[in-house]
Amino acid sequence: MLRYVFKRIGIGLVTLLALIVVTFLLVHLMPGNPFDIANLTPSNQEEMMHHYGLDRPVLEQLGQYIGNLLHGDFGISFKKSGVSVSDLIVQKAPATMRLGGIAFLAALVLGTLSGIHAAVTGHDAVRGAVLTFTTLGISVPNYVLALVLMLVFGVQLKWFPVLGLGTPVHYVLPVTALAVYPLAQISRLVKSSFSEAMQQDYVVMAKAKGIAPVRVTMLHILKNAMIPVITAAGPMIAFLLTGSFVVETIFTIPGIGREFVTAVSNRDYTVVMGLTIFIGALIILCNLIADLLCALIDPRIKLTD
Amino acid sequence: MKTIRKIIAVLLVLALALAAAPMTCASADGGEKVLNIATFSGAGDLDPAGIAIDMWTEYCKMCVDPLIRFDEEGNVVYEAAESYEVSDDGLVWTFHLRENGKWSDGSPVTAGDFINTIHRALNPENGMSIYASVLYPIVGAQEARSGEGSLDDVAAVALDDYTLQFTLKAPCTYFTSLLTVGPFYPSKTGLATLEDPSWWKNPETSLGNGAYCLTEYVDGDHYFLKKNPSYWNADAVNIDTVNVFLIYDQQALLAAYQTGEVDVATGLPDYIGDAYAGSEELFIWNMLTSKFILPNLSVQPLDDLRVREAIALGLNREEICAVIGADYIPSTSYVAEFMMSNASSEYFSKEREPLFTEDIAKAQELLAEAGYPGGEGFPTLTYTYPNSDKDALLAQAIQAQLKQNLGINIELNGVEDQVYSSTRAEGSYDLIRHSWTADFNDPINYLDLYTSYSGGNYNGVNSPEYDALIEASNETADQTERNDLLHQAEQLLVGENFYVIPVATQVYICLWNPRLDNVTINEKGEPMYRYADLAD
Repeated sequence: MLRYVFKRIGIGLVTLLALIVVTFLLVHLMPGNPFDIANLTPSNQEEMMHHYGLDRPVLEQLGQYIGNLLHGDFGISFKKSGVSVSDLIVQKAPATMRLGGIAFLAALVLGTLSGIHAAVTGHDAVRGAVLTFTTLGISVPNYVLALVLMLVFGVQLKWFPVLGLGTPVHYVLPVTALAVYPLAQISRLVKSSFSEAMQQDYVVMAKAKGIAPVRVTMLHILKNAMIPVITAAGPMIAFLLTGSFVVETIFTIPGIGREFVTAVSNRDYTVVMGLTIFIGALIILCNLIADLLCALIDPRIKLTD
Repeated sequence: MKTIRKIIAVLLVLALALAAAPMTCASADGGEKVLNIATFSGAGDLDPAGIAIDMWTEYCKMCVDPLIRFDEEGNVVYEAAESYEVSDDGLVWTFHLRENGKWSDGSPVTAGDFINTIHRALNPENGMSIYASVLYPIVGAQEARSGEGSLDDVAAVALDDYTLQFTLKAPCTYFTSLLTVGPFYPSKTGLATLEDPSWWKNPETSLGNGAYCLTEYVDGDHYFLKKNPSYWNADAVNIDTVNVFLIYDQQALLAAYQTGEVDVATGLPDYIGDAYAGSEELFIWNMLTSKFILPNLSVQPLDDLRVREAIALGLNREEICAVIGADYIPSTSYVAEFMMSNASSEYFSKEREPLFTEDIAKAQELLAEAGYPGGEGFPTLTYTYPNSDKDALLAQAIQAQLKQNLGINIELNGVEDQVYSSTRAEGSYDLIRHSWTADFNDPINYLDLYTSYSGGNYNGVNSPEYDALIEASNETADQTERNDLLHQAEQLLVGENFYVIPVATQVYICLWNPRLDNVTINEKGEPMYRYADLAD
């Protein structure tokens, strides 16, 4: 087990290095430069490029960058004076992660409950309703959903504020916009794996032995039905924690999703790199944790390959 | 199984009820007057010697007073300075500071605080000083910035705590207009330093000498201000707290206004102009922006004056702007339509006859003379533009008009902002959309871009006659004479040679709470909230 963990971490680090090199080269290959702003003349731009060493060969810059990274130095932003990239991540990540975390919990709890309900219910109408909702949830893109939520519940009904994350109420609309898609996904996964697990011999056996229905559902069926959910949850939580550009822009949330897109279009090289590394590391970590959790739940999954 | 179903059903209902429970957001004012402003752009920083662009422009109007500024009619308003005088040769400018000028910590505003910004802006170590060049008319400034000279030799000096003197290399009749750009604003000596590049974010070091001062700054999201108790004119300030939110999405901006979360929203979608027409909530902000087509003079047949003139005359700008939306106004002026003249109380563009008049029949004749009757044999040119919604509409409208009116085909090439900038700088285009927004209120801001030696001359204009007019205008100390020279230069650039082809100017569509009162407008058409009030 431990050997497996180390091996996975090793592979993760190699992946991250490849990601750094490829992103660095791509970012520097894009036309334009960070100082092409406002009414800055070309000679001023050259002055600034020289100041930050951006006029040197790309490979030399890459070597320097990786050298700095090994010392824990992510560099400074070219577009925000006095802001280091690590500060920027520390500032922006909490809002995104809180939002993503809440959305994930909501999706997990509601998705699991509605999935089970659809699986065990005797009413076709309820099953149909859950199915319709989950199909809609998967097919409506979140920028449409976010806008509709904002216009209906914010502007028309004035139930919820739409600007920022000032109070708990501010979370309702952005969390809903973020959670609906993973909720629908989880719900469908749970429903199908739960229905399947209900047919298994060990469930029939458990029932025949007279074990309480709650115990059968929670311990025997749910535990096994959750394995595909956990596998899917790794990338899902990584996706939620790294922020949605659309939701952050529409609800004016100072998170890393919005920062990332702004940094790319501004050619803020160091910020793009820093956020790529941060998001990449997060995704690798989430996938590793999901795999380990599966192994803990299902002893049949061997992690020693 | 039944109990489980019930439990789940109850849990689901509870969860749904919780999610849908409407809660009202209580505003804790307690008699305090709070103004919430949403602006469209948070680009740049709050350091006058740094990236003093969009965010700074908004911030300084509330928190940092320059020496002087101008009102809507272009009259001087004394702020940190009480008076100034110029030597007869136009080279030495002496400003007398008001002795009751105070920073928000109660300390006096001194001439040294102005020098602090100037020295930081010119320091070769300062990698963020994007407007250092506005200081270059001052003796020794350019040398200090390039590292060839010393900051000590820059002829911007504090004669005493309340007297500031600038010595210029040559007379500069628009020097007072330059004073409204970042590097001429004060910053507190000892607190605003190059050693601490984030001083401007910290309310302890980011002091104001204006109506308000900073209390909180959250990068890319908002900054909060409170009334500056030490402000010399504090009695005229009515609002206690100003909260400025940076909202980059137009739809979100509009929603924040409609839910009442902000009192002012600037830069809204164009249809708001129609939706709120006649309402006292609507405010149109005239920008000093000019949108024009740049023909590449080294590309055939754009090197032919008749072809350039045909393109300029063959566009129906009313129709083009009707397609784009209410925030685009047709214009045949290269110097921004709404720029105040320095020689009269009119717009510069209204002091003269139009530079040219649209005339499709004449355009067709010109094209025929050039050897392309009805557009026959005319090569397919490419029109490059940055890929925004508005610019795409503008491109399509121009394409359709040229096809319909002149029989010319152009290919559209929409590219990402940064690609657009480098294409323009490299000159690798046939026709390109260009846009210029003035940094300060003077036509020279536009006109000196097309001298043969200008770094902003992207299409190869090379006219000794034009260079001579611009140089003559820089040398004269007589404002009226200078203004004439600038008009001649614009006529030469546009009306005679069509080196640039103006299409439109832009306005910002804004909404504000009808309770908001006493907002003033400056010479650039920008609203100023320093003395604003919110009626009960």
